[in-house]
Amino acid sequence: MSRQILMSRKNILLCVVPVIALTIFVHQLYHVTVFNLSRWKGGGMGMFSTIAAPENRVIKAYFQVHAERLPVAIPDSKQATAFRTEPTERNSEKLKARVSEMLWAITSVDASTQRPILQSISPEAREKSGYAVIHPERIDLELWQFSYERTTGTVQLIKIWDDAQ
Amino acid sequence: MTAGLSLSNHTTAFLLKLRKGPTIEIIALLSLCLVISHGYSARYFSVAVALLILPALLYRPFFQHWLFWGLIAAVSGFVVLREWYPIDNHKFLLFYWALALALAFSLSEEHQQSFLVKTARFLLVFVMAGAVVQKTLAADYLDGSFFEFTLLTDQRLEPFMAVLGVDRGDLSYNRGIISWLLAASPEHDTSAAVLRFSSPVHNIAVVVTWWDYLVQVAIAAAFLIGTRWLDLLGHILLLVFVVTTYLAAPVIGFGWTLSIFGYALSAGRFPKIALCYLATFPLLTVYDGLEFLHQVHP
Repeated sequence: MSRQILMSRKNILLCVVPVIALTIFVHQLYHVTVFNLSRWKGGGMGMFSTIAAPENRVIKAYFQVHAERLPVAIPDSKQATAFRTEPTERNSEKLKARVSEMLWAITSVDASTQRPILQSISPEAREKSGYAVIHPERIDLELWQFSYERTTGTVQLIKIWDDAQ
Repeated sequence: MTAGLSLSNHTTAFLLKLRKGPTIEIIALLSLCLVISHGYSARYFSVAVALLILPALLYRPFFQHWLFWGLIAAVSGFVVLREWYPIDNHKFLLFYWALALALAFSLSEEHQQSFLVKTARFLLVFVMAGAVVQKTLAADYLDGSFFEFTLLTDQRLEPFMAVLGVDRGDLSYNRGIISWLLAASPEHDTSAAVLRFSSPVHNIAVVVTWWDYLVQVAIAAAFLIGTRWLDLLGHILLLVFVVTTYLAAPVIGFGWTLSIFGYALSAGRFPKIALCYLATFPLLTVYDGLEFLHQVHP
């Protein structure tokens, strides 16, 4: 009797790891399909299966300031990694919140386009330089990822997320 | 002379222990090595492991106790939940394996090894079949696009491409193109560029794509069916996979994880194969060193 109990306990315990692993696998596949989660991440064993690794995705951000749309290069962060890996509304909002916490200033002007260049600055740099801090009325995020056309060798960035639309 | 004999005796005893010794102890030791050298980068994980290892060193039975591995599994699970987006797939496997060890050591001694053998089999089939599902569903894998892009732009693969006659100058140019596109300044209106390549790259990409895909299909199928001969075939393919794949893709922690599963599965049935798995540990460590040399002298 006790042997039977032990065997059934062993069989129940044997199911624990497969149930967890398969649940995470199905969850990952669902998020890949619905939310554009990168196949490389999320426990779905999809490494080396697609070009669309998080490292091959690019975030482009724009500040709306006085009816002008200014491009900004946002620094890397945990929130940026999450948005690059899975571009969802929630991750977009978290990244915008992180960007809003930073100090932004026009530090120079692009010679070719004559557009102002916005950069995040530290409070110390602001003290020293006296830059005027920019407060965006709105932040728009875009996420682009590489695609590759092997007949022509063309590598292209394709937009997979756009806040403005 | 005596010292020489003594060394020889020690070596023989060591090899005998590896071959006939308590498999479960070796599995636990290998897993501990994996946790220490290729665990999670989170600081609190390193602290937790250090705190657990100290009592295990002073009282050896502790590291074959369910509580030891249960605590490692708990911290691993916490890291996986917290670092869901950045962590790689083999870190999920490490969590599953630590949990399996905790559950195995909670059973009586007679059931521990068979529990780990069954879990190792499941995890090997899961990893390989999961990879096959993802590669089948991905839009850019089976047509060779993924590997062609990777072969043309990944610096780690440059030595292999050079051996195969691909111009290093072209590869360097391609990496420049990728960096330029990734620079991500929204000022750049251009979002496309043409990579430089020579015709052998197409063929190499197709061969690598189908080799990688079919070997994973075969390993998953062999271990899923699990007859003696198919198991033997699965082990041989898995060893070839580990030895070749991680030379080019230096994710050593992943290689070690697969080798532990392979060792657990083979130790009782194919002792020589089990020794081959053990040999992959120093081999993969050497690969890691080669990667380090690459970084210093690109």
